[in-house]
Amino acid sequence: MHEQNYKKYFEILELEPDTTFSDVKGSYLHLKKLYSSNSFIFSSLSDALEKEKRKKILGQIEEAYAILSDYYLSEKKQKSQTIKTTVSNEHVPEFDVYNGNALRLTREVLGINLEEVAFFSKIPLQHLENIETERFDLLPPKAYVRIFVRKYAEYLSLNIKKVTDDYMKQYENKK
Amino acid sequence: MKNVKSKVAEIWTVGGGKGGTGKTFLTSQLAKYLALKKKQVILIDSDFGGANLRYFFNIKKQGKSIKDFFTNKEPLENLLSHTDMRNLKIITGDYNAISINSIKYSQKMKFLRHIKELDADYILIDLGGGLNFNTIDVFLLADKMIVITVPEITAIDNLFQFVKNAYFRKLNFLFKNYKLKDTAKDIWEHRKNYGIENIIDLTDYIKTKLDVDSSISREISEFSIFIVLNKLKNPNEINQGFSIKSLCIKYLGIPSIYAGYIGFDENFRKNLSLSDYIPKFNVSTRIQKEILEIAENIINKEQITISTIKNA
Ligand SMILES: Nc1ncnc2c1ncn2[C@@H]1O[C@H](COP(=O)(O)OP(=O)(O)O)[C@@H](O)[C@H]1O
Ligand SMILES: [Mg+2]
Repeated sequence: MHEQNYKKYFEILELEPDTTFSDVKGSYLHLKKLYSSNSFIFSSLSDALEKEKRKKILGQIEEAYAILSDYYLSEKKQKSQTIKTTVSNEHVPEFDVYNGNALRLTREVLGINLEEVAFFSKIPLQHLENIETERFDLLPPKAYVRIFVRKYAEYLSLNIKKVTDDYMKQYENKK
Repeated sequence: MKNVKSKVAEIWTVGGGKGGTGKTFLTSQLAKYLALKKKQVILIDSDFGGANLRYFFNIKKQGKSIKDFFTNKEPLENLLSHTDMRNLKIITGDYNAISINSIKYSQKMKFLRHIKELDADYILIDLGGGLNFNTIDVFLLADKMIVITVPEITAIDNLFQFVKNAYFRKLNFLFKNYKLKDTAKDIWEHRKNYGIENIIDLTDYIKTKLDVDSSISREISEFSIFIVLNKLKNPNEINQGFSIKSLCIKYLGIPSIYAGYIGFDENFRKNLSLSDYIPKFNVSTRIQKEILEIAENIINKEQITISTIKNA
């Protein structure tokens, strides 16, 4: 691709041109939500509420996302084989079985890093790492693991029961 | 200046309009972090209304302060207080001695000039709240202008006003420097006549319609800010930084970088002495990681993105 041609679209999404698709997606969703909302933040800027201007911005955001996602999808098709093809509206993949890898992939598609999960879920970072890499030997007793996985699934807005059941089944088997 | 300077310092200023958002805290932590990276750092308390930077470093009041510059004409380099880090020095403030409105224009210009002449790798300046133009002028001195806010409408509103005012002030300086007869404010006030609706239009107009030197449009384009969000209590609030950034870009037309955020930390209250709060910057606590991220982003002009901080 010619960097130059795409630069403008990255700019509209307020990103650097060398960014990842998950940033493009994340930024698109955020901006779309922001400019279609009546966020309190707009009340600060006098000309910010103009409908026309917002409509124009929303149009540009849609266009930029459409063009950039085409680019990323064609470039990165091969990489996403591990992900089941049923992609929901939000492009969050669904897995048949939730193991450590599935959790990691979901997190990455959502564009969240582990530190953030640790920060807000109060699960120690190294436990999260061990959950994702299935280092069961390094994890605390079972009851704790269940709580951690539960919280983690909740943070990722996944089906809590399915994720915990799946994960704990593997934990029992392999331990 | 008598001594020849060995380097040109990079100046960082921290402002944002509202008091209590963490300007002084952030400035002090950024300074400590840079000093730990073995840089020579000078920290200046330029909050004339509420100088309190010294509390973050346990510096007693007896020493010299910025007041000696304004009242006794002492050179700034005579006013440096030592801290427990060898390469971090502070010029403390003194809110009893000077009122921000009483500073004369010539004094201010001299102050700004002398800051630039200090010998250091980095000069960090802590500012007071409010939109006072003396505060804004010090803010504009920076190579890296940083604004900090908390996720509350009043503080965010103050931030927008602050950035907008700083931008207009900068335009006025440029107009004066380039000897343009109108001021940016004149154009803005009669914007209907010029077909200008918002600040982005104004900037375009100046860059393209006014017969200006290309250096003026370059200087305008170089005006950019770093945004930091402080005292977050909830993960959703991280996103407000992206919203603030977006409005700065799309409504004010100002290139903006969301440099990072700091979670609310209960431990603040428990520590009576602020200087004990983070005595050594070993990267272990959450807040220290957050400061590190912010500092590195400012150094490298990088931003956090929605997939928050790069994957660890
Ligand atoms: N992340 C934080 N969590 C909790 N308290 C904070 C945080 N950042 C700053 N504070 C506290 O908020 C108060 C105001 O901070 P300060 O840096 O003095 O703000 P400003 O200089 O903008 O007026 C101080 O008591 C400080 O200790
Ligand atoms: Mg302060």
